[in-house]
Formats: sequence, structure tokens, C-alpha cells
Amino acid sequence: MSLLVALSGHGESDARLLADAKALAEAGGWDVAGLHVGDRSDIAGLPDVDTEVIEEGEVAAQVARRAAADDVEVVALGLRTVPKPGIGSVAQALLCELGDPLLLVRPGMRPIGRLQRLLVPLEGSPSTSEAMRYADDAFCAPGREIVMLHVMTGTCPSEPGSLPAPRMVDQEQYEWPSWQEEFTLRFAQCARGGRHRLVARVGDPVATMVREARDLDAQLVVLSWWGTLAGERAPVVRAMFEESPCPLLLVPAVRPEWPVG
Amino acid sequence: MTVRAQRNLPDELDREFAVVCFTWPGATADEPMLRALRSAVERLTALGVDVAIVGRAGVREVDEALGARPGAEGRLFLLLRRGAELYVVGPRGPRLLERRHLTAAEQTDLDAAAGLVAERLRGRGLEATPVPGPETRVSVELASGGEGRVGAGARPRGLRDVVADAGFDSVRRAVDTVLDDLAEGGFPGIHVYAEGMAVELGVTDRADSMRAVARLLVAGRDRDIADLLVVGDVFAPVHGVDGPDRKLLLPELEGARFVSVGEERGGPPPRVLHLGGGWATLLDVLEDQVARRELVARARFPEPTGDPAWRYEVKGFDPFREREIETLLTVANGETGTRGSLEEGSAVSTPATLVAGVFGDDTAEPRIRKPVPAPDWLGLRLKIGSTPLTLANGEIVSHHRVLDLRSGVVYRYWRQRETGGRTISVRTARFASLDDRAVMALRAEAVPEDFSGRIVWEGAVGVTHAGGPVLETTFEPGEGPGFVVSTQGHKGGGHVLAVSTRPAAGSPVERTVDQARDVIGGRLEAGEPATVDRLAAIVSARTRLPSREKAVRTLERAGQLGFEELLARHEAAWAARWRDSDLVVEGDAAAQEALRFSIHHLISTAHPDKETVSVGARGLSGMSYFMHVFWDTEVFVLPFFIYTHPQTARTLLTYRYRLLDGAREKARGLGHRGALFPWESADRGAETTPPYGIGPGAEVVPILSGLMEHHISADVAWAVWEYWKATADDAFMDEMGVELLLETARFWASRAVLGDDGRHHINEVVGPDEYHEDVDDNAYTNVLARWNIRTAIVALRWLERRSLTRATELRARLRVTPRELESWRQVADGLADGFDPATGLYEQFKGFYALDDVPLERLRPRPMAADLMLTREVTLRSKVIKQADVVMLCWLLSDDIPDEVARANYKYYEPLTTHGSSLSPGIHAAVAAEFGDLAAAEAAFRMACDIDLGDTMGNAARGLHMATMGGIWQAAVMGIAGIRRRDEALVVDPNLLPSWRRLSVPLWFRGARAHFDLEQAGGGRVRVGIAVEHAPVTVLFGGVERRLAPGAHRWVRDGAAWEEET
Repeated sequence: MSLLVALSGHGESDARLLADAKALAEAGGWDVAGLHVGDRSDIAGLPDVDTEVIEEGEVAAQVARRAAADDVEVVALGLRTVPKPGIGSVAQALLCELGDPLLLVRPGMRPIGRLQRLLVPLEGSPSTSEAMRYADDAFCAPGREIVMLHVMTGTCPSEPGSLPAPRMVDQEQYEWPSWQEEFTLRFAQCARGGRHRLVARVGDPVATMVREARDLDAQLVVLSWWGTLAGERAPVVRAMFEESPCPLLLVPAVRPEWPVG
Repeated sequence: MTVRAQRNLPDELDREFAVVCFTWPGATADEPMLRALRSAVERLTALGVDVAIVGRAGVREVDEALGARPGAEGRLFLLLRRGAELYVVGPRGPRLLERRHLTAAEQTDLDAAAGLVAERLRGRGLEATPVPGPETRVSVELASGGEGRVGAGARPRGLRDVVADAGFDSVRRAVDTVLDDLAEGGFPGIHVYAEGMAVELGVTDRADSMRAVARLLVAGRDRDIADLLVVGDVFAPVHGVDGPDRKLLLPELEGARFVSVGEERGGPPPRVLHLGGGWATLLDVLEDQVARRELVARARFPEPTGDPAWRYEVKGFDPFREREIETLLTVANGETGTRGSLEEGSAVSTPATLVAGVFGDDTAEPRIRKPVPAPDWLGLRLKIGSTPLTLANGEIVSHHRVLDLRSGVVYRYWRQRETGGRTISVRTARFASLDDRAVMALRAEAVPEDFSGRIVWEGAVGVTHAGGPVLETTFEPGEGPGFVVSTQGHKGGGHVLAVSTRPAAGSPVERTVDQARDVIGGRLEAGEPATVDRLAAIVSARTRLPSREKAVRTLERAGQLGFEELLARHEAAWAARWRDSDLVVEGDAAAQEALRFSIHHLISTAHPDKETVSVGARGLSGMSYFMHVFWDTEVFVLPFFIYTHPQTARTLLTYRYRLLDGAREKARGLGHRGALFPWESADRGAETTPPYGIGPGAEVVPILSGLMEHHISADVAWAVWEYWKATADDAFMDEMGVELLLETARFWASRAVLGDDGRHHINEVVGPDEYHEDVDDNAYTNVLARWNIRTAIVALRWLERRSLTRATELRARLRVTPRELESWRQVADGLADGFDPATGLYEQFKGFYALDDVPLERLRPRPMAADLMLTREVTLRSKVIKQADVVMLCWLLSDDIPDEVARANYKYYEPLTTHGSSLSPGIHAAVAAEFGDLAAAEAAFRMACDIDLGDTMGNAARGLHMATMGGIWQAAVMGIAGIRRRDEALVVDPNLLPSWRRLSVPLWFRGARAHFDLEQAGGGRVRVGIAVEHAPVTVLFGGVERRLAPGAHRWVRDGAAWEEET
């Protein structure tokens, strides 16, 4: 399997993207492959990586084409710098088209380096816990910690199987351990030796994610992603594009096959 | 249903026989034959057929070869040693029923006869020696003499060769001669048999065996002789000697069907149907008898009720919710609870069997009493060939579970297309018997839909190894099929589980024992069911490991009854309980489901007789709260039992009475007198609240409830009074109630301190609103304490009137002096209660009014864990309430607190309440309904219903919320139906929710059974039908007292006016 890096031809940001991509690929056990749409000279100064260069074409379409190959596990993409509004047309198109997880790196984010701690925000609903399942599958390992962050908002997703922090706490000496155990059982089921930790906080979800990612020195934030930015959708993901202190891995969320009738 | 013979047998056998008797094949049967024979015998006995095996061998030989273990004793009999011994075979093996012993005279005769026979045979040139034979026989051994033939095909000389040397042309001739000799010698009653190289003499023979069959299984079980089928080997003479089975043909068995499967060279005797074919034909005959019954038995798989109002259904399989579903589908009976886990388990399953009242010391911090987990009996895995069938193996075609609320049985229907493409359908039914509370049962059936192959069920037991409160777990095979598993607690009690799995009647599968598993299976054709019954018995003890034998005996008793009889008794027990507790709602299916679901689990969770156990916060459905007992039981749960099953209520109060010494010790330890019940109670009455907990941010949180939440003592006192007033159980009051009231009153008198203001205060407490800890003069605590003291004095006066001797004895024992009583009165009269007559409000605690106001919109949506969402610092200094506190006080003391005061406090406190506790919404629903605020009542009622059924607390996976369920019942009966106790009468003042067209409520009240039928009659009118039984009941209609005699009564309320309908 490989991690496909969509190189823009902007030397500095490509170098940064490539470094994070290699770090993530090492953690996931994948190869790294590059794809550039443009002139080969655009990427001349980059470290050695097997890169396919396509001189002409629409970038998003070419990346999507290459990503559709069976061997591609993750696609890595650089984001524009913060001062510019939005995330750019290529990123926006790929976000909505790709069926693979997408690593997004913006200049200024903390580099992944050797992946030791991931932050996975979970609202406590099954369909948004795809990120956790992916994180467990791909990265759970000895010496690595996956921190599940639940931001308590006092609301309860209507989806069956959801388990937000309890809105009633009879005796806290029992309720919190019970909830934490059940939350962990429900959303983290990897037994490969990686450390799991559940952190529950109250507050604004984005601000809390950003703060916890920073305070915990997380090297990667993994989020579930429904594949659409239409209208006002995905406000948390949009905000994290700009505010996350470390690279983001967006995992396409797929509803589980269950329940069945 | 009539089923034709499945095999090619003659018409004479084209019927069912109730008793099947056959002769033991002995060494002529090989291992496959014996295995098939065992299978047929076990299945026949499971189908209710009596099987008798007749032989000359000993019991060890027969039992080791056959190894049959019927599910219950009483169907399989071994008649051995030529009629000298009779055994019955049960799950633990053969048990001797009768053995023929020789009298001294018989022994003398036998010895003399043997001497005579030996002498006569020696006279004919044979070397004959009398030797003692087995049991009732004596042998005359004959030396073989000579070497016989040698070389290829040589065989040793037999009896025939030996007697030929003496001039007999057959053994028969020799035996006849011996018989003549005996008759001549004066021993006509002695039987003679040729056996090996001996002539045996005895006082019994196979005819005696057949007489026993006729006596025990035909006449003794009121059957016709034609119901008896006897299959033998050879009846006709061979070489002049009667066939060995000739003696079976007793004259008195005329009409029975005799069948011969051996060679009958001279033709069979009259009355004998000759089939031939050897022992294989015997198997055909037995299998035919099985087949005739199988299809009928298969049709008897139990089914849940079809009435949706009695079904709680879970469709599909959602791994995220599975632990929650396991909780909701718990089957329990007050003694044991078995979570509703998949029998075969899954990666997301947390199966458990919980037993009430058995605790051990935890070996980890904090070292508190924790339940000793019982061995889990439920495990039952299915294999197709050697491949385990699970939900993860292939594709789930359908999956559906039903809790039949009426009968307390969980049904499961599952179709799976496994990875190999084969489809199999599975159904199971399980229950924890309400009739015999030590017993649990499961029937499971697997049917290959589109293939034939080997299907195997494997029983398994889940055990908890040493650690935590568990000291040791041991696992051993049972004497019969199945296993015995013991779990011993650390400084506490223990459990013994006996469990076995057997082929169900009519299923073409057989049992083998494979180490730690009961393994039952067979090769099935498509459409054939592999059905097994798994029965389990758990016995427990609080302070030791209980008797293993008791568990085994209990299981045997259950096995004797069988799954279907156990189920019938269980269902009858449930029917009796529902008769007195079912609430019928018309017009609101969701409410109906929630009410029946709650009532079902309330009944399931409390034991009506066992005084050493109570109802834990999460009942018997999960380990959260460690099965500790809180005020939940007395204040929320108990009213349901008081009014539907007073015996259970009495038992729950007796639990507290038995632990009074622990409560006294706790009070003493804090420097007080009297009885302070532990906030969390286990088996010894000591405080078991952990001193600290871990908060959501992994911070250590000190837990103050064990130190400061003292209202529990008044709650117990309130429950005593409520029980007595509602049941008129004077004996309880005499034996236990008054003492409980006095000791709790004494605690309050010693707990209160006289302040500088001249009033008495109870400081440093936690009230029901646990957002505000360490407060002074909590109104709930103080007013209930005052009530407790005054009520104790009233109760003592009552006891003095009832029995001065008893009252004097009690006062002497408790050392309650007049002076102390006077001091109690002074405390009660002087207790600060925060009541303001001008507003009618109680201040929740001293200083509450001075707390910050919180914009109400910050307290929405409800429910809300406000200490979390607003932070603990904010809730501590704010007018934010976790749960009903003053409102709860007014609800409990409705006899004393005027309605207008209760209403004012509800209006003030309700908006401040976040319902951050599962105890809150049910009571709020009741109070709102009482005050006619039906919208608020409905909202709170549905909030309460959703706590378990909607898992809105996110913790249903760890157990049901018993207090919530009690609150739901109180809301429906006391709030919405408006039926409440007022002193020794019932007030009826319905507040039916708009959608509730009709509500029916059965109650027990002071020895009377009253069934209320409330109906919206249009125009705001409510019609009330009351059926009274057993005794008159006093009812208040609009404040007017009516004494209703047994019979039917009809009343109508129009506005505030009540009128009796004629």
C-alpha cells in the first residue's frame, strides 16, 4: 500500500508535505509515491521519491484518478497558508471526491515527526467514529498513544448507538468510570498494544480540539469526514483546516452495515 | 399429530409404545452399536418413554458400556442379574432401587441344592465344584476336562462339550436333569441356568425382571398392558434349550407386544413377532419409536406472545448498542440475573450472571465490598462441522430478539449465511425461573436450511478467576453430564453453579462429553432441528461456599421437570404477579411499553422471601454500583411492592432491620447514637461508599455521600411507616417497624445540635440535591428527621396500646427512657426547617436563597449534568438543583404538608431542577400530574422512560435504573392515576394525560385488593370503576370518605365534583 502525495510544485510546502507524508507512511507501514501535474522541474529540489509527473491536466482529476488505484491507502495534500481564505479549489475538489483518507498539511503546523500521539475527537456517535476505527487499524501500536477527545456539549446525537457524556450522573464514583469504559469499548477496540486514553472536556468543540491537540503535543488529528462542504456543513472540519496545530487526517465516514433487519 | 413409522417395520409396530423393554445385548454389541443405543435410549426417555433393559450382567458392566444419562431420573430402568437387581438411571447414573436378598433359609437351600447338584454331576463322571455365586446365586463349576480340538479353528471346550462327556446330548438335557434332581431333592423353586462353564442356581430369573416392569411401569403408571413393547434376542429353543428370552413371556403380560430380533430356527413361540436382523433391528425399533414422537416434540418450541403491547423487541444487531441491549434483555428472578448476551458471545458482548447479596472484599483500592461474580451459565456455541457460527461469520440474514414481558422469557431468532454460503436458522428461549429462583433454563434450536451436515452445540461456562472480590474459582465435571463450577469470594460468600446441556426431546442429536464442554450434535438433513435444553442451578451463600450437593440436587430436580414444565411453572408465577401489578394504558403505546418494561424488571429484581438481600441500584442487570443498596430502594422502588406485592416490600424492609447493628455502628463511629444506615449498603450493614472517585478529567474526586448523606435513615423510617399504613401489617410493626423508627429517631435527636439561635440544626449534610454538598439545615433532611422523631413516638404509643409487654421489653432493650423521649420532642419541635409561612416555601438549605441566580436558559435542555456543563464551582454557588429535593420532601410527606405548600415549592424549584439524576424526572412527573400540569408531567414522564429504553444517560450498558423504574410507576399510579395513600385511606383524583384514554391500576391496600379502571369520559369528566375484593377499602372522593365493600363500584368526577354511578 502507498501514500500518494499530491505535489504542488511549490518547493517549500512540498518539502514539508513530503516530510509529514513520509512520517505518516512509516507509522502506517506504507510506501510513499508522488504525483505532480506540471513540469518535472517544479519538483526538482525535492528529496528522492518515486513521482509520477503529468505535464498537463486538471490537478484534482489526476490525483483522483491515481488515488483510485487499489494500492493507494492515503492521499496527502498541502493546504494554503492561513491568510488566504478557504482551502483552495484542488483541496476542496479532492475532499469531496476522494474515497480515501486525506492527510492535510498546512505550513505552520507542527510536523508529525515520529508519530507517537494522535488525537481523535469523538462526539460519541457510531457514524462519526470511523476516524477512531481507522486510527486503530492503521496506527495502533506499542509506544503510540491514541487520545480520544470527547467534547461535552450537553446534547445527544439521535443516531442509535451514540454515547455522549451522560446528561445524568447519579453517583459520580460509578458513573464516570462506567461511561469511560463503555465509551472505550464502543469506539476503540484495538488490542494491538497501543495506549488508548479518553479525555472528556466541556467547551466549544473546535477550541477544545485545538487546545487539547496543542497541550497534548498531538502530532496528528484524525477526524471523520462525511465528504461534503456544501452550504454550512462540516463547520468543525472547516475550522480545523485553519486552526489545527498539527496535520489533519480526514477519514471518510461510512455508516456501519448494521443494524440489519 | 399422528406420525407414520419412519422405518420399514411391520404393521404390528405401527404405533407408539409407552414402555419399551429390551434385553441387554452384552458383549455382542460393538462400540458404534452401543453409541447408537445410548442415543436412542436418551432420546426416548427425553420424549417421555419408559425404557427398561433386562439382563444378567451387573450394573457396572451395563452402565459402562451404555453410559446413558437421561435428563431426569425415572424413565430408564436396568433390571439386572437375572431379576435380582433393579436400578433407575438419572443424570448422575444408576441408583439402586431394589435388590433381592436371600433369606437365611434360601441361602441354606441354595447351598444344599448346589451340593446335591454337584454330587449328582460327579456321579455322572463330571468334575463339579460348588462355589458361591454372585448375590443371589450359587454356581456349580464344571472342569472343562480334555484339551478339545487343536489347530486352526480350534475353540475351547464349552459346556456343551463337557456335558456331552457325561452322556447328555445337549445342555438343555443336562439342565433338565439337574432340575429333576433338585425336585427330587426337595428344591422345586430353584432356578437353574447354564452360565459359562457352570450350572448356576438361583432364586430369581428374567421373569422376575418382567414382573417388575409390569408392576412399576405398566400397572404402577396406570398404563395398559398393550403399551408394553418387549424386544428380545431369541425366544425359541436352541439345541433343545429354551431361548434365553423365553422367560420374558409371562402369562400375565398377555397383550404386550413381544418382538424377536435373533435367530428363531424353529420359528418363534406364540405371541412373539419375529423380525430377525439382530441388534440392528432393535435399533430400528427404538429409532422408530423416537421418530414417531420427534415431529410432535419439535413443534413445541415456545413462542412469545404475539401481542405487541407485551413485547420488547430488538431488531438487527448493532455492535455499538449490544451491551445496552444485554442489559435491557436481562432475565432475572430476584435471586439471579442473566444479562441478555448472545449465547455464543461476540467481541462486543459482556455476558454475566449476577446473584443478589453475595459480596467479598475487593483486594484493590478502594477496598470496598463488591459482588462476587457468579459463574455464567449461558454460554452455548454452535458449530457447523468444526466452524463456529457467529454473527461475524458471513452474513446476518436476520436477527431479532424479543423480551416477552408477560412471561419473562427472552426469545432470539437468527438466520445466518455463513462464509461458506450455507444458511442456518437458530432460535433460542431463555428464562430465570420465577417459580424456582435457583433455576435458569435455555432451549436452543439450530436448523440447517439448505444443507446437510454435522451440527454441534457446545455448552460453556464463563468464570471469573481470582482477583478483586474473588478468591478462587474451581471447575469440575458433574457426576452426570454437565459441570459444577464454584466461585468463592474473598472474605465473603460464594456460588456453586451446576449446569448441563442435553438433547431436547425430539431432536436427533446426541451427547458426548468433551472435557470442559457439553457437546451435543449429530448429522442433520436440511430442515432437521438440532435442539438442546440447557438447565442451570445456582446456589449461593453469603459467608461461605455453599453446598455443592445442593446445586447438583437442584439441577437434578429441574431436570426431572424438564424445560417445558419449568417454563409452564415460570409462566404461571409471572401470571400471578402480573395480575396484581399490570398497568394498562390505552392511547399511548410508548407509555404502555415503558410501564410494562419497568414493572417487569421491578418484579424480576426483588426477592419476595430472602431477607438478606435488597434491590441494588442497577438491580441484577449490571455490575455498576456493585449491587449496593441506596435510598433508591426505600423511596423509589418500595412503593411499587407495597401496593402490588406487600410480601416483597416486607422482605426489603426486613433487610434493613437485619442490618440495624451495622447502622448503629456507623452512627456510633461518627459520634452519634441510634441508627445511621449506610449510604451504600451491601451484606453487613457497614458503609460501603467508596471514599473517592475518578472524575471525567481523570481527577480524583472526594465522595462525601458516605459521610454526609444522612437522610437515608429518615428514608428508611418513611418506608417503614408507608408500608405499615398501606398494609396494616401490625406484626411487622411490632417485630421490626417500631424498633427501626425508634433507632432512626434516636439518631436524629443525637445528630441535631442546639444553636445559638435556640433552634436545633443538622449541619454538614448532603441532601438529595448533591450539587450542594456539606450544607446546613437541608430542608429535606431536617423535615424528614422531625417527622421521623415524632412518628417514632407515635409508633411507640401504638405498640404500648397493642402490647404493653412488648413495648416495655423493647424500651428496656433499647434503653429508651421517658426523659430521652422528651429530649427527642424538644429536638423535633426546635428543628430549623427553612419554612417561610409567608411564601409557603422551604429554603432548600441554609443560604440557598443567597446563591447566584442562573439564567434558566443555561439550564436547558434538560436533562443536564449541570455540575459538568456549568462546572462544579458554578453549581456550588448557584441555585441549580440536581434532582427533586424540597419537591421530593413534599411528595413523601403529603400526609403532613398541605397541598398549597407543596404546589408553591414545586413552582419555585421545578425551573431550577436540571434532572441531572435518574431519580428526578419520575417524581417530578408525579408531582406535576398531581398539580394538573399535564404538559410538564408528560415531558418528565417521557424523560424518565427514556433513561433505560432510550439510554439517555449513556450508561444502560452497565445496568438498569431501578429507582427510575419505581419512579415511573409512582408517576403513573400516584401522579397520573392520582391514587395515593392518605393516612389509612386511598385518595382518588385522576390526572390522566390527554392521550391516555384509559388507565387500569390494580392495588393491594390494607388487606383489600382494589382494581381501579379510570377512563376519560369526555367533557373533562373521568369515570372510575373500582372492583374491590377480600376486604372493604376506604376511598376519598373529593375529600369525602367512602368505605367501599367488596364488589364493583362506579364513580364519575365532573370538574371537582364526584358522583357515584348507579
